[in-house]
Amino acid sequence: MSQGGDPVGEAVVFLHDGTFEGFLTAVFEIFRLRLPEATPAARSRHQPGLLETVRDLETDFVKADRVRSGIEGRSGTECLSMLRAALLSELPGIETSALRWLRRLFRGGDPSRGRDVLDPDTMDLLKAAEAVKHEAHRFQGFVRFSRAPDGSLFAVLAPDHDILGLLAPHFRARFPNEPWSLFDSRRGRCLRHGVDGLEAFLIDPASLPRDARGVGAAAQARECVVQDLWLAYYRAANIAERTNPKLLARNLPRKYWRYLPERQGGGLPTADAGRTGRAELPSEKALAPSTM
Amino acid sequence: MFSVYCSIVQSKLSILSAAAKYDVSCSSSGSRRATPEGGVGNGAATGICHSFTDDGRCVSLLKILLSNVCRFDCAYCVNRRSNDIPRATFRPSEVVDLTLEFYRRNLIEGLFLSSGVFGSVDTTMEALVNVARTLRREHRFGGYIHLKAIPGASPELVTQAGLFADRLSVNLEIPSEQGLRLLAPEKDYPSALAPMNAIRQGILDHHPEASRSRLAPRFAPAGQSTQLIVGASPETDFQILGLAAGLYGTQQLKRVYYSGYIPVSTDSRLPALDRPPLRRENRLYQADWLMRFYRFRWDEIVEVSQPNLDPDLDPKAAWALRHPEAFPVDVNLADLETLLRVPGVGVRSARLIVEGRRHGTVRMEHLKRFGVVLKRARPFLYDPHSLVPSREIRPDRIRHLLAAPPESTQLSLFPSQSLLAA
Repeated sequence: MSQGGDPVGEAVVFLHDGTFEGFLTAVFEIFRLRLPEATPAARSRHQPGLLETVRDLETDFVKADRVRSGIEGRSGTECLSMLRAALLSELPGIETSALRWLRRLFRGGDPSRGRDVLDPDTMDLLKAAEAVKHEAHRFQGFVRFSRAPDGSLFAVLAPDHDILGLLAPHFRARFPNEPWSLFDSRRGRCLRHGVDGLEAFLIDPASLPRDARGVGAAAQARECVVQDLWLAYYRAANIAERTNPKLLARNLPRKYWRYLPERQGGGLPTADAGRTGRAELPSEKALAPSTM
Repeated sequence: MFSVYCSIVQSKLSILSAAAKYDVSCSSSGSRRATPEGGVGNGAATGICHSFTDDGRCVSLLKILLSNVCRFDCAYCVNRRSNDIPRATFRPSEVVDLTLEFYRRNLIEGLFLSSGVFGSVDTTMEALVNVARTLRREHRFGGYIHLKAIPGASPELVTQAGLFADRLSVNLEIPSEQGLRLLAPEKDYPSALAPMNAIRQGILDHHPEASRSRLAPRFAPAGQSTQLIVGASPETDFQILGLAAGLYGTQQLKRVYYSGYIPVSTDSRLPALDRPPLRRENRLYQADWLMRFYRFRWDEIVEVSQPNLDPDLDPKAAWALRHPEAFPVDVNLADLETLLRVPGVGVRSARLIVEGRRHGTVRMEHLKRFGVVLKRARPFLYDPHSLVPSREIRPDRIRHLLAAPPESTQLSLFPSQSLLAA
């Protein structure tokens, strides 16, 4: 990796912190320096290439805001929210598609260009945004809260896309008067809702233990009772004459089963299998806020 | 003591969940109820599925009967008086506790409460209303509540139910009055239509545009639905879809559910089926989708001369093959309504086509990216690059592209309706 000048034509990668504002800062710099071959990339996901120059960027909210209002002014809030959601997908190549889409948008001309679905980049963004919203919708249902030692609700999930920020408004509206936390064990991020509102922080995924140790005995007993009641309900709700594994697999892909106690142990769950599949509990240490 | 209490509740829950499972409604959509001040829970307009059972059906609500004790003896019903099964009745507080405990762990969107008719129809209805009232008033619960209106219940009780519930439903069950009289001698259509009318009236009276105040109480904001059992009586698909269209039209129902009859009785008035008519049920749902999302009239989907849906073709493909004169369609010129009638084109892809052609010419490669199933759609589309000048649709030659494999034992598609607003 060299830190040289920017000869036109050489591949330059602008590393940012992975936030929407970080991405917009990188776009601002690329446009300012008129670099046709440059791409933005999130620092944590960047795979260094051979013939590329790397620039580390600090997120600049003023620059980000100028790009943001430029997008909004040209194409409206709908396109802006599509872009924002598409970037949360973290799909390979999505930032390159987004940059090409932005270049076309800022070239001027037809203001409806941002919605040109004949353009492959627009379709890439649209599909990525749909995938993100679809996963967030599914997790609105598959997130399972348990009671932590302090009585608050918590759930651990490992989504494909970075959806914690999309789930937060849903659960904040639904449980405004209860403390709850969502842990993204893939990205080591946590969102906690409490009396002071919502706070986000980073967490070491390794500190999330795999079982229910550390929960007070009374709380644990209550969790078991509720879970057994749920399993009894779930088992009785099935109609055996209609058993349909293909339909089940389409509606409830296997990757979500790990979150659902009723789907532990392959086929029909048993009470014991349900117990071992109980949601992972973070330790007291893991619950303490660290730095963002 | 606590564990004894729990095991009693658990066995009641098993019995009263199994007793409610033949009611196929699972939707939790259509309500945007806000979380009450100081309370818990709200309505998600799209509906949310929290699990799926081995039959592939969505679990969205705690769907239970308050009691499976019933004084009626309807031949098609598992809870009929003469059936020798374990009986149980919840205390209202047990239903309330289960709902809140499940809801707080994000296991459900809310409660679906129905009941066998114990005591009089009105005592049963009143018991259902009381549970909903307790959840809303005492526990400030804002989650989804679906209540059954028991056929024959007084309009006053139905009106009260609508003030607490998000959705109300009355099941017609048998798609003709004659069939219902035969299988359920104690019921008739008027007793089901009276509460249905009361619900419709309640919705109209409390509609935000009709009422003077924005703060006026809302009445069943997710509307009403019903269920028709398919295959327990001899009605044709023509009769069933005609009835459904009428219910969507004059009664303004949000959803009609079709439930393939599952033999729960050896009563001689019922047909002997070795398995439930799942493929027929699936075709009826597809036809229902065509009415609600694809702008088809019901009498375009089935015709008197051929009163049953073709089991091997989805009803949209069947319509296209019956109407070769409507094709080929030019994707760059046709209006949305016409695009929606092309096999292989869905609501999403039709909208993308309309958006796309504002920016240029829509070509085959675009259609693929839009999610059009080209294998099905191509014979019905005008293709400027085709070497054959103006093609004629030959239904006998393209049928095989659209037909399902002759007879599969599994249902291939059951709509998971909670993703779509019902």
